Amino acid sequence: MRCEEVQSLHGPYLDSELGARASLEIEQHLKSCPGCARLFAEEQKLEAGLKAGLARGSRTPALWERIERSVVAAAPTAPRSRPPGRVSEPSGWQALLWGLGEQLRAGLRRSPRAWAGLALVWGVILVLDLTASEPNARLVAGQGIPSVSEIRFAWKQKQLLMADLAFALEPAPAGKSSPAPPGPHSDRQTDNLNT
Amino acid sequence: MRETATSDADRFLALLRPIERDLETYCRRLIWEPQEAPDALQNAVMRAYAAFDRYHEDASFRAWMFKILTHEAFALNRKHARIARHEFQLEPEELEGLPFAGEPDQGGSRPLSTEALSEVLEPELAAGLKTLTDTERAVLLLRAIGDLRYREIGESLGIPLGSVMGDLSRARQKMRAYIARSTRRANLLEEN
Repeated sequence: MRCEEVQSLHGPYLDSELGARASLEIEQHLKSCPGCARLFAEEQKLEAGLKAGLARGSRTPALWERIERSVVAAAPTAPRSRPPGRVSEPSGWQALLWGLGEQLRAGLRRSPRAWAGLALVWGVILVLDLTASEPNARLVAGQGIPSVSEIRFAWKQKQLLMADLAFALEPAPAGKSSPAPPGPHSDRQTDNLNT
Repeated sequence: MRETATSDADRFLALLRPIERDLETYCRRLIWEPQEAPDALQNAVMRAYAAFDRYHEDASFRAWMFKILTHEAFALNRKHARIARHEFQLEPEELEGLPFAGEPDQGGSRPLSTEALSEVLEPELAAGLKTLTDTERAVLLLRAIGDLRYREIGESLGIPLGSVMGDLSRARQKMRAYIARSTRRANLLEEN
């Protein structure tokens, strides 16, 4: 490598950006060339001084505390405070339901396994419900829905049956003036008439 | 699910905390308006956290954060359209004041020493950075403060590797030229 070529690569060389082969060639040149070696040493010192000056700075604690708080607040499922808009507490049965809900939520938050238990219970209920309702469904489907004429026929049959029963229970016409035994209202009416 | 989200936030903050100082230093040097640095930092961190599920463990969190912050700072700089107003180019003769290549100092004053560079006052550094283009400044700072590799710098800025090397070289030359000029000016004032 010639001096001009070596000097043109002083930046990448001092920044350790050159490949192994190029770095080795420059190192060998610097060993045999005092002029380039002196320039490289001076360049390294100057760059170190500039870097130290540019990197001179401080961290502002209040700024970073604010930024870090923003990061924590932006967490997707970070616990959110209750909205301040709610001014009245629920009362009566609403308070009872609210309390039960809070207890359930707190329990689920404490133990994620409770979610699995809840899902299992719902699954069992669903299976039991399906197996229990299946025969009934088949039965209903087999019977079918009665038609309007069938309903009318059944209603007529019922009316005739009632008429027969009424006729059978009716007493023989022995005396037309024998009234039925008076009830309380009849007594009052009779008293009123008598007076 | 809540535990997962909390652990995500904890994991994110655990990665963020060690580089907070460097991010703030970088942002304050890159952005034109100093009072906008807190907003740029906050926006960048929130953007990074929102996209944290797409961050892969095998990638450099440091490079990822610097990239997001760079885009945020550039957006703010563009928003206020202050780049052109702040930037100014150095004259060719000013670039000749470079200490590299063994050239004797043309001004006749003391050559720029390492001590002079490391003890450069903050206003001089800030003024020197304003002599750079937006990309040159970002490349220089990503290397000096971010300690990123050339490849990472190129990915952060969306420019090829050759451009990174060219911008970095120009940025270093301009900074040294500006500081050398300031030193010469100070020496002249002392002599008078």
